[in-house]
Amino acid sequence: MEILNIKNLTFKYPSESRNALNNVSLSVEKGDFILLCGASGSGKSTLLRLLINSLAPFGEKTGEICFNKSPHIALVGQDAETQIVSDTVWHNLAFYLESMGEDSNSIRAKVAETAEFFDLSGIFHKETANLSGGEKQLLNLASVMVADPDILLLDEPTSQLDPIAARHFIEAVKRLHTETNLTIIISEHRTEELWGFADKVCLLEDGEVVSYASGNNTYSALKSDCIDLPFALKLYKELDVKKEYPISISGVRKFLTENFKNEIPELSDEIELNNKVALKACRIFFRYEKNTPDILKGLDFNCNFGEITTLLGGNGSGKTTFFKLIANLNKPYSGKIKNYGTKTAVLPQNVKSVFTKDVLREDLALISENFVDICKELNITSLLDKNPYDLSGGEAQRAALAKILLTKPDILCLDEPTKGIDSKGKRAIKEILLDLKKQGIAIVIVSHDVDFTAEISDKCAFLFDGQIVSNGTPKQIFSSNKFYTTYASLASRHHFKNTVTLNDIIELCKRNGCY
Amino acid sequence: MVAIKTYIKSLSALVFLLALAISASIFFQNENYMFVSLCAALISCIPFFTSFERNVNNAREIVVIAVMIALCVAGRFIFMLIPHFKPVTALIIITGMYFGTDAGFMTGSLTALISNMQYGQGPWTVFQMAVWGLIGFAAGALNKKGLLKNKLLLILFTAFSGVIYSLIMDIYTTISTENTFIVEKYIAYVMFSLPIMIEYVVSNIIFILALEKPIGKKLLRIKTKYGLFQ
Amino acid sequence: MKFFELHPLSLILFFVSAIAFTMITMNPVLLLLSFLCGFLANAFISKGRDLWIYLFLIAIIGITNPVFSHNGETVLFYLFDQRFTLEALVYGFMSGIRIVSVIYWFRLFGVVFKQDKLNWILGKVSPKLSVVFSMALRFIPLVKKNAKDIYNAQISMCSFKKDTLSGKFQLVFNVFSALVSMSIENAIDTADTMRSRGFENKNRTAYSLFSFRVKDIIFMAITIIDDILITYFLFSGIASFYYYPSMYFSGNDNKALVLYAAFAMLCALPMINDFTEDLRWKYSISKI
Repeated sequence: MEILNIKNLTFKYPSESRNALNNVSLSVEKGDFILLCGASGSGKSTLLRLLINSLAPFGEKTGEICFNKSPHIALVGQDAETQIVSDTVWHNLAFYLESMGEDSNSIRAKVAETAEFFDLSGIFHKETANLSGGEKQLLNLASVMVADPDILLLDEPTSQLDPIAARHFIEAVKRLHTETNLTIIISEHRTEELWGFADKVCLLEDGEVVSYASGNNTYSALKSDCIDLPFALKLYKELDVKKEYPISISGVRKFLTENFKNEIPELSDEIELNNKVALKACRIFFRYEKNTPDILKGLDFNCNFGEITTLLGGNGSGKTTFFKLIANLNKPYSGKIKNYGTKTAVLPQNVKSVFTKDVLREDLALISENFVDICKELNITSLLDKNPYDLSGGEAQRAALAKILLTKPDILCLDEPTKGIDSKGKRAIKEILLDLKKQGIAIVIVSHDVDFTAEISDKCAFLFDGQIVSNGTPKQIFSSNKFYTTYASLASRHHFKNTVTLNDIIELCKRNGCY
Repeated sequence: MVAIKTYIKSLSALVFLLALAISASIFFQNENYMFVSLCAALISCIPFFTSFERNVNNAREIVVIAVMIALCVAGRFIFMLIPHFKPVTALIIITGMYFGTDAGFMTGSLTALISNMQYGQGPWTVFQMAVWGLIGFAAGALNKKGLLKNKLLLILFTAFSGVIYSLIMDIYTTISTENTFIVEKYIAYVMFSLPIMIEYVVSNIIFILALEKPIGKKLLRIKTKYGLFQ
Repeated sequence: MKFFELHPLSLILFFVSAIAFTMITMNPVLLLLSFLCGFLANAFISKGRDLWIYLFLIAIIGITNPVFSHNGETVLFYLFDQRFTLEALVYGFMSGIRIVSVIYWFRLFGVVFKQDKLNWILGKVSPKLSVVFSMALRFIPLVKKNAKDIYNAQISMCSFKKDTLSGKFQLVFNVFSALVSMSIENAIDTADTMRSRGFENKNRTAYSLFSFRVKDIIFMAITIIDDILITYFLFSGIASFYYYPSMYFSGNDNKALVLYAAFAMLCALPMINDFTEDLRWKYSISKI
């Protein structure tokens, strides 16, 4: 049964000349799971928001959105923090039902059932300020599910979460779909677990639907490389595979063994050792207050000028705390950090915290008047007269980076620079960082994103429980790690050695040649 | 028009309570200033709350008011670097100026209630709620015709509300210790708290001068961008 | 069910009664009862440690009263040619005890009425008010966290000099103004979420986790009976007490005793409640 039908929908924002959506036509069956893919700015959010009356953006709209029997639609957006509407978990859950005017008894029953389904009963009485990002987003999902919607819209729900919380959230969504046959439309950069699962994949490019078919059939329609594809698809695409293999890690394994020789089993792993030390930390101990436990417990770390060093580790391992020590915002109570640079700068996770003025130009001028060159380099010249709060995630990040670079740092620290950024944006950051590296700046990155780390770093250190437990080149770390590693390494370790990125595999495949 | 109606309502509530106070005093042959003034302060808030309930229905406006309250309460924490400087009154005035009477009253009174949740509730909570609320309301009412756009008037209003706040809290102190109003004692309290009052007024004026422009600009941007408090 | 676990309605009735009766009377017996119970309730229920400080407040109010007020017949001595009377001294101490009792009850109120119960009351006055209240509470930790983020970012960029006073001012004001932007812009998203969850619907209800139980009915019934008794006897003029010109006490007959008993019962309710609860708990545990 058809539940939603979009006919020739075209939408234009008042302030822009280009259409945000162009002649979009989609038909959604009841019980469908639809994955919406596309680069940032391709119109995914706009499309989802147009489906809900109270959230529909203001602008010129033509075309039709037809529903079957006016279904109840709910949305979970990307920022977990801003969707929390009350101070306690239970009140967030009850909020929707209160609005619908339900009486206390039915609210009590529905809230209890939902809390149980999403495994929130353990935090039911907690204050929302004390929840982790993953718990918050799960709560947001539960808070709309109490009202029993007919269609659930998810707008990049995991983009602000760490990989483990993201996987947990996606699992919950999948369980919701399989157990209740709920109609779900999800736009997501993390397509790995969803591509095969979705009934249909809808590819959006510059506001137009490029393809609308099942995951396997979408493959042939892929044109640009701007879309975040699952790892397997990226590889097949790069190697121009004709025969269809399953879109999964095991599929890639089979594909590699069946098609490629492995006479040259590994790539060389050279490191240049001629660089000057920029930062050296020796047996650092740190805690925030006298009576709290140690966050850092004898941490050793060093990085060099002209190198990119990445700190990996889960939540609460002390990565962000260590950054505060490097930036001299806190001091260790034991151990020493020797800083050989002249200026250390930090790009915080919350990039908007860098701005204090209403116009980007004024903000940059606060540091230095000579910002023209840097703006050109980072491609933000056109944004100079905008309010920093009107910028998109990627733009804001580049603008913040520009402001920080104006302080002329020779040690640059970045806290989760790829959070919420799509693959196109990641490529832009990568280019910028490699360029800065060439200028001799020491770059330290804290990240959850193993694939990005493997591509960009010269050295990696793995932080666990306040200590560095292993360090080395990305090839050493990721090819020896069994679980905390990249898809490329997982998919190719049976066949090749030291292949930790997509490019590594492709290069070895090309060198080895097919059977 | 609604604002005037609300004022009349709250004034009539006050008159009613004063009458009640006098009759109760006669009946008990005892002056119950404390009890009556507490009731008066509490009940004078009610017409404003009902006006808020009726007039403000936009989710965005409600959330923005909640944010202004949070900023007022957290203001003490942010300005810890500069001791004795608390931006509360200045922020309440700015909220009233840009977001109108309902938002001004709500921000003022709930800020008092919430910040006393941390620093200790007492009979004074009720007076603070009424006084800060009325300061926010007055700022909104005066700025309806743009009176406070004039810098001099703004400074005068800020100084005036600082003085009024201080004087009313001194009335509370006198009444609460005495249960009756002794003028000599009141004057003694006022003299005693004079240095604090001056510091308070001066810091308020500095805050309003420093914050009114940049924050007003931001609030105005929000107001026009999302069409709030029209 | 401990005192603080009772339904907000029972609790608010109790606090209004205790505070109102304490405020309108000057009878020393009633005041001392209220003071004693307020002190003990705070000590046991809220585990307050600085309750002793208020004794100084009583002393100050007690001693300053005769300096300003010269009524009364019994002159103790002359201070700056003004009469310093026993009656004024006693009156001062009694009003000191009264205000401190009121403060004690308010303190207990603040301890018992955490945000969930305050929210319940506000919701009864106006549902929207309670939404604003709980949202403000939800934003306070967020605002503090954002303030820290902005502050750290600005410090690490050295955009303002922290060591001079004017630099400090500039830093703090700029952090604050950035904080206003960040908080409000994020709040608009929150508002949209609320709207998509039907916030602007007309017939909004207020759900709370509180449920009215038998214990609440008993507690309320006792409070109401006490209230009726106390009001009746107070209005019939029993136990009125005059300080000036000389102290005159009318309440020492049986009726007054009923009044005192009723008032003592009212003020001791929180402690009686928790005490019986502890006993019952011990008894139930011994059965296991």
